[in-house]
Amino acid sequence: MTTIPPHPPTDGQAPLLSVRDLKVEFDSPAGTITAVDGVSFELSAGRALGVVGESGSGKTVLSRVIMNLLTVSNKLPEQGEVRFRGQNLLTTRRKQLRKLWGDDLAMVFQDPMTSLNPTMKIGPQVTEPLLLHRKISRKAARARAEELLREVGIPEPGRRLNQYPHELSGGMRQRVTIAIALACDPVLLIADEPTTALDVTVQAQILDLLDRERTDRQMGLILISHDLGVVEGRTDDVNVMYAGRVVESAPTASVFKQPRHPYTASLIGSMPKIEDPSHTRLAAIPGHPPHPLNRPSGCKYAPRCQFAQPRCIEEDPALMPPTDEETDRGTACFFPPGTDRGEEALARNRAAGYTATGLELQPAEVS
Amino acid sequence: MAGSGDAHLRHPEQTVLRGENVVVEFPMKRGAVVQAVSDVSIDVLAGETLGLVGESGCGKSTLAKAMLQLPPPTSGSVTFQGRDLTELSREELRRVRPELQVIFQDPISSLNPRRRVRDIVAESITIWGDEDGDGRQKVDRVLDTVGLDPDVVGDRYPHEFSGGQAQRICIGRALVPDPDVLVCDEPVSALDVSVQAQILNLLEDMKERYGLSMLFIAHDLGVVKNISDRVAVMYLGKLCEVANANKMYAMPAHPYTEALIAAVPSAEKIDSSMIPQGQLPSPMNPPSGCRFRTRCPRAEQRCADEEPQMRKVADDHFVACHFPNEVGDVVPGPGAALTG
Repeated sequence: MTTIPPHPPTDGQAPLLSVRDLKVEFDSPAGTITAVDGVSFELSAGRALGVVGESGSGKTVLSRVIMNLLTVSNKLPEQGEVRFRGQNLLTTRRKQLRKLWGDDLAMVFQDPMTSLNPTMKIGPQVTEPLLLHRKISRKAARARAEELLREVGIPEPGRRLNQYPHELSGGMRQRVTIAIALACDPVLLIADEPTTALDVTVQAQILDLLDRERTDRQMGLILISHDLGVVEGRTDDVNVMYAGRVVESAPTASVFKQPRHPYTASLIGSMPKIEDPSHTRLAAIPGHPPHPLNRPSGCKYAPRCQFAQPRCIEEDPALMPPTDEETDRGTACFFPPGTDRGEEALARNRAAGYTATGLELQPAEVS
Repeated sequence: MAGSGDAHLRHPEQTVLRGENVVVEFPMKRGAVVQAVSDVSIDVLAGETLGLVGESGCGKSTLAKAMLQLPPPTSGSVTFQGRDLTELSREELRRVRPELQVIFQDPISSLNPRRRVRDIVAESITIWGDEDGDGRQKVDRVLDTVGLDPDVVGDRYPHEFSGGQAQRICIGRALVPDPDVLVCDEPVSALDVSVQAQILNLLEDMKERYGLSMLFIAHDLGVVKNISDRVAVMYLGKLCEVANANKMYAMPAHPYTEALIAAVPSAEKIDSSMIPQGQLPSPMNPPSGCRFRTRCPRAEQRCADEEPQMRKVADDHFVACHFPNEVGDVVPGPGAALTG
């Protein structure tokens, strides 16, 4: 995947974040594991980019590497570049990175219980980035912390500063981690599954909060989630990841209207929808993702794909516009769903009863 | 919401599993008591799937476990096939247990890491004996039914499996004793969407094939609607609404149900005014009257004074609220346009 994917116009401005041909590999006794395999994308200020994919698709490693937070000993040197306002973070020295983390670059993690220090009161945890990055007195930092907690919707913020994380509910804790992330007005916020551990009503509140902060601050947001519903409602663009790659990249609305990658289409089909009557048969994806040490040589999705043709086994598709007209999106598929090529391929497989990779197709199955 | 009453219960002869006025209390410090489940009644018909939804801490898992006598409820009765489980002796209860099986959220941790898959799945045969003399074939048959190749997986250990495969093993283990009731406590919450769809489809197939009645607990409203015939919504240890799944999602009567449905993430901009603000009150000190009143946009004085009782608002649609939404008696059949 060396082609640069098409992307929404950035109004001539340099993008806030630009990731190019990023490859992250880990050394393991069994062989080299490629967690992120040639990912490229751009994000401009004030926009929200969703990253979806299943466990093991590389979305979390991608988020860590953008921050240059991965320090595990078995990681091989990254290839490609991550440019944040033009600066390549992968080659930035640690000392410089420390100045960026928690200041211009911030992150919210999935589990607020483990991302907060259980032995420290909320107050010092919220003031920490302020005292570190801003020339500000303790008293002023504390006042600002109280203001931040109020901003993220925490009742009685003054009292909360003196409480420990375990005294707060999951939703409140996640608000605290968001307050910490927002403390120094970051220009890029990466939220890795920020609402996965939370109930739906709290999830809606937290997503509203992130939306509001993004708009107010013109902050770039990368929202990583396995929940397509979350991404559908809250992002401008979306990257769908599979086996370490971006297989589809497009404006969110177009992806959900007409997915151009069979994997995206199947993911949408396997999601139970609240509009469907009960007992609607879900279009489950057969099989499971390939083992990272044993990925197929052609298209990584081919063994599970209803559209698979002989070409998909031999050649590895790059991210390209699916049709001549759709220049604002990319798909890594030779036979995109909804296009003539795709429908022909699917019809051919249906007629044969199986795909080029030997996957059996039921005639009635919906793509 | 958050009311009591049993107007929603069906005739005892129709039900396989029936809990009446179930109360589960846990002791707290200094003699205090928290009621995790507070006077709740539910029933499940033969071949029916009852979905139980609610936010964390609402008591849905505790209720399901009380139905299984794990542990028995503090008060109330649980009738299974005409017998009150709360009155059985230990030995009598042990003999009933094979009929009531359960699968949990984290499939890996519910499998013994030191035992092989075939032994795990055969456990009920090991305990209860091999009546038909085809124990091993039965285990292999069940493994095959849940989508695992017995020759490949039989001699392997749980850690060698992904979450979805491990959940299949758990389902297989639960099916070997031919249960009447399968309780599923958040069985797909830990799984990816594509695997979740496989497991939900599998549960539907197994329900058909083994004639199961299911009590299905989940916090994901889409999942619950997909699998359930009837849905019960819980809030802070009480029931808010019980109805046919399609009806409830099409026309929620309870403001809380309405809020839960509105909060489901989707492309449409969520109307934030619908989402209850604030937090779940402490179950140690629940609000008087209706328990949802502290977060309810419609709350009036009456809600504080008087606990709403479960009452019928339409055919197979019951609500415990003083000021519910108007719901009609429209029967949305499969394929009917449902505008949640």
